[in-house]
Amino acid sequence: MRRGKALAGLCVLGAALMLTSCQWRRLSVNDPIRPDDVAFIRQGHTTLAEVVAKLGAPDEIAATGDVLVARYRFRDGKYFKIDLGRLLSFWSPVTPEMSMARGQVETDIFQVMMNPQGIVQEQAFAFQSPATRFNPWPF
Amino acid sequence: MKACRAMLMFLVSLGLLNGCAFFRGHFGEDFDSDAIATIHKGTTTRAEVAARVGAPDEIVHAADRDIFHYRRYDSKMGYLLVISRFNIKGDHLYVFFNRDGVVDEVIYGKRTDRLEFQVWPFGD
Repeated sequence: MRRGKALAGLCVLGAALMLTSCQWRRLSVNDPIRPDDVAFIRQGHTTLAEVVAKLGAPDEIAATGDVLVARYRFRDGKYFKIDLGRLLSFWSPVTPEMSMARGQVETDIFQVMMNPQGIVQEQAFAFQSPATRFNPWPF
Repeated sequence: MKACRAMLMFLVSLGLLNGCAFFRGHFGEDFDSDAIATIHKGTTTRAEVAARVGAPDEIVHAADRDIFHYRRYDSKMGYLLVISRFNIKGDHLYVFFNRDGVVDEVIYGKRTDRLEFQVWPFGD
């Protein structure tokens, strides 16, 4: 019984030590826009004012000829690092870095093209990147 | 025993505080909502907009009209030991002018009021 408890304590201690060698970081730029969020847009009917009322002001408005282009940008990044060298720092005077890390940034743009009257003519997502995940494997 | 446990909790709390950090960063001045409210379609001129809100960050020429673009960004980061989260959001103000230099449309969106300090990096 005592041995079992000691083993469990060691496991918890090992897990805690392992945890100190990990880092999870997250970067979010603006709220993501999903296809469901823009389902209300009807080409030839919806106005810029209606789009802004639902999605907020765009990050950029540009023009190509008579066409106005409103662009919404959003990003989501995940970074995970594991540094096994940190485990040595508890009993060794030197802590060599033995780390693996990987960062992924999912970036997307939703753009709406309008005529000079501000009526939506086209809409599209630029990338539709796959969802990011925490993964330290760099290879 | 109780005192020992309380001391342990205190030390753990201190340890957590030691590895805890919050950062805040701004880019650009916050928009003056009162000044924006004085911009009226069909009456306010380009010069009046510049006098009340300031010079724009960017002027876009689109379909024979000018658009003043004002922007501002805010960021918040929470950090706790091995996890952190960095959130950035932007506010944008667009003022459209007709060919006579009079306001045609005002588009204003504020996202930074929904910006939060977050530490937990998982989930949405």
